[in-house]
Amino acid sequence: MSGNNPLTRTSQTRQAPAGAAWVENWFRPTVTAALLTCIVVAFVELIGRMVPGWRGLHYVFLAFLVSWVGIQSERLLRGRGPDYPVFRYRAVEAVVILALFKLIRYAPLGWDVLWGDIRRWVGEPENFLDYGFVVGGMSIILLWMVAITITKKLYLLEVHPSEIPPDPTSPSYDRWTSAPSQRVDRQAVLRDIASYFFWGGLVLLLFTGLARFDIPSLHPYRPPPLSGLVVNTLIYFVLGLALISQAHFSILQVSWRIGRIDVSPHLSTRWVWQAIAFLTLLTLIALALPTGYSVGLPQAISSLVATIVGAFSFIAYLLISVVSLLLGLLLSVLGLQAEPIAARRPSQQSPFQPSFPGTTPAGHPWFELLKSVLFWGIFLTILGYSTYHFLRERGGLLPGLKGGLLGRLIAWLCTLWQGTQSWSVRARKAIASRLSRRLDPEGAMGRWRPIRLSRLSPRQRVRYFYLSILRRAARAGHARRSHQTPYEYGQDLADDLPEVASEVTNLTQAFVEARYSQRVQDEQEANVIKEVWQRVRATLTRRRHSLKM
Amino acid sequence: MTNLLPFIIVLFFVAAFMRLDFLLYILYIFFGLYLLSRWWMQRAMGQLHFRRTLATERAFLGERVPVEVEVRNPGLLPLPWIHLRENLPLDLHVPSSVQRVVSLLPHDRERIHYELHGRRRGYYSIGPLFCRAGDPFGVTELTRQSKIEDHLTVYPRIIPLPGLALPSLFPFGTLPSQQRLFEDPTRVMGVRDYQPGDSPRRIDWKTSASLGQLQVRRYQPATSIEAFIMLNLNTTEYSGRWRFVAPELAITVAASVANQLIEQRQAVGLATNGADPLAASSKHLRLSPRKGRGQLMNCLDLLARIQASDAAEALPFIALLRQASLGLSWGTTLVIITSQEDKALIPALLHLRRRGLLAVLMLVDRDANFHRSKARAQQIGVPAYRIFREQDLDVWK
Repeated sequence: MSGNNPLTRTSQTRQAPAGAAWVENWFRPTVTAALLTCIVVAFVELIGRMVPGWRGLHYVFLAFLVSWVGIQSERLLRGRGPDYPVFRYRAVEAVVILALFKLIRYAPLGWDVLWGDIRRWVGEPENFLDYGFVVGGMSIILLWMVAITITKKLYLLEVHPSEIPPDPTSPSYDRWTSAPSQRVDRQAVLRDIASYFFWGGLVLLLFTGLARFDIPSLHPYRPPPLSGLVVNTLIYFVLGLALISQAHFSILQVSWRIGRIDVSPHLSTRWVWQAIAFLTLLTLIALALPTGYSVGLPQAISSLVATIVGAFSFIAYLLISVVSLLLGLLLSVLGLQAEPIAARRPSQQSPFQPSFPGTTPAGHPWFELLKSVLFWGIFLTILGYSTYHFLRERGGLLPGLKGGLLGRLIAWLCTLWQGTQSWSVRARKAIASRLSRRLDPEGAMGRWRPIRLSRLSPRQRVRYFYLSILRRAARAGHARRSHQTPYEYGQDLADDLPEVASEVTNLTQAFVEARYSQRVQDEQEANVIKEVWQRVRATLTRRRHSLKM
Repeated sequence: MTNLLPFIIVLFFVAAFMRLDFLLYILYIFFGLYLLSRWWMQRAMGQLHFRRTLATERAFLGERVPVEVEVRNPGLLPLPWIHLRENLPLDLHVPSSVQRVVSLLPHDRERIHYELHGRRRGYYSIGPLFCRAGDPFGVTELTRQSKIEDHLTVYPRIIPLPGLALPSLFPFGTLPSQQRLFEDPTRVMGVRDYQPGDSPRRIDWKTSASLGQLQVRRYQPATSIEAFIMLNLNTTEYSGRWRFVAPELAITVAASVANQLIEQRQAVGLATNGADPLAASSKHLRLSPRKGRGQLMNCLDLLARIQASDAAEALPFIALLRQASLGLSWGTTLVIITSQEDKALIPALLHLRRRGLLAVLMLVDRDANFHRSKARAQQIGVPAYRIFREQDLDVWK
């Protein structure tokens, strides 16, 4: 409607830099093509296991190529007018893809075989369509069509010019508001893309799972180290998430453009890189987490409990030994002889040594225990977290559980969790405080701690004397209010302690100089202030005692 | 993601007990995505710092005020996208918000610049600044509102009134007077020949020496005005047609009079029965007469903030006259800016006159019967002016 409106064009030009060209032209097509290729990889691997000696690497390349061509051709078609013969274009493309597929099948066989078959086809054209070509060709065409469909869906996420409102002050704005809405339900489109992704993932998992069985003999055998397939599966899901990330970006971008919101030109590029970094980190974490266990859940728990009890016993044993030694020394000093304790032969096994009832771990017992505990810990965490959210989102279920034994258990666990959290917060604060004190020793003067005055500079000593008086005055009922300056507080304190009013004034003056002036304070000056401090301190101590009485 | 939880839990059970490592990896990725993105967004959003800087907190009508909003990410976690929306009063900015979508890297900052245009007097809140941010996968989206609060005061229109002449009873001051009774010894007009009876203190010795005969100084007669502006902003006392326009005009007149008097170094005070959004109580608002730029700022601040009140508890203007005039010194000139003269106004003015206060009546409601009001006011010695438009102030230009 307003595609030719200069105002609209201006606003589009202003909003346009949000997307980077390389993301549109290369990143999204490559991710989509790679995503589909991952499924083909799993399929090829499965076929390779079913037909020993069969190699299908060239199919993987072809799958990628076909997907990529399908996506790019869809992009080209969008640039053509509505009168362009799309069917003819697609038909030609399909024929070329099939011809390419036929040719690639001869890649492992050699050109001589191809040439011989071509001569044979001239005489017997029905031989051109063999069983492998028909099935493989259909699969490749299916892949090509899926790639085109995903691309179309991705295009649906982009903004249509008629959706962007003109400038509210322009005459075309009224026409725009009265025109029928052409909004696209982009959330539904996003759900479609996500469902393609999950269905593809399901197919991939099926292929990968089947590839772990010896299908010809139909009995499970020891799973081979299928690192390639695992990596392929991971790549598929990571690429799928990257694609969903791009789809999400498209939806947001549309809403921003419709809302005529300025978008930073770096956003598109940063979005891609941050998504990649996030997914890489996630993949690394996933790869680092255990996927197996050498001990079951009950054994892992009992081993963990036994280890913890062993550790506490060891600490207790050490403490008792130290106390016994001291007592023994005391008794020998007093001339008494303690009864010798029969030495017990220590157990060969360390109190920390984990035990695996009924199992023989392959690796180091410690490592195996740790791995198993970590695995079961993750398992229980995921289970607990999911259950909690499942119940919470279903409103009535959680309150119903609160009354019974299970409710009390949950409440206890919640309390334990909150306690752990508050403890961790306190510990973090304490560590931060200690670190800051270590980094800023002068800042720590406000807190009481054993201090050696001789190690402080005269300036620091004066500050210490003043802060010490502040502390003592607060205990004696003359606390400084937060808004008071040193002079204001000094005046108040001098009024309250008339017998040492001049000392308080001198101390305040010395503190202000020590704190704010650049003047060098010498030892003699600090010693004089020390005497002043001692007099004020004595007065405050007397006041405090009199308050208690 | 949440809808997939039961499915994922079942998958996890299957994967864990059948030891399907590839399935576990995928489940780790999905759970990791969910947990990590939540943690990421909560952490990154919690660390955001906002700062808004206005070039000035007070602006004159028509002035443009540049504003800078800075959003800083002091943390180590980037924010892939963050939608910033600064809500603004429509009187200062069209449209009523400034929006921007940015991406913040670790230790990155983004500045948004825009201008506020003081199109209408008032006391405006700037912001709040809302920000919505999310992860690149659409798993988590968080919204935060900044707590920083800024205000912009747009002063009312001020029209210069160099010819403004208010009556005064004060003998000494800085304003030239037509009455010869009070002369200001600091304002020398010239010299004249000495006449017997002249005070020796008036002899200008230097001029006398140069002319060779005694000369005495001539002083300029002077007076001073202590003015007190009474502004009626009780809209129930305005006629229905001009209920919204006339009070604004009254505020403009009050601001212009205050400005002119302060320019002439006179003391000005102000009282009104309007509503001040910053006032704790609904009592009338009063600024005691004072001189100087500071007082002008106080007056303009109040006149910028003040709103005409139609509430039931709004003080009637006659009551305001009685209450606010208490404590005014003898000879103070009351500048009464109100809608129209009613039955109670003239007796009240007469009472004030008898207390030694002078008064000038300025009527701003076009439905007022001005000629009748003027005649009645003049009967008690109060000059009356009709100011139905801003152009009517030209009589004092």
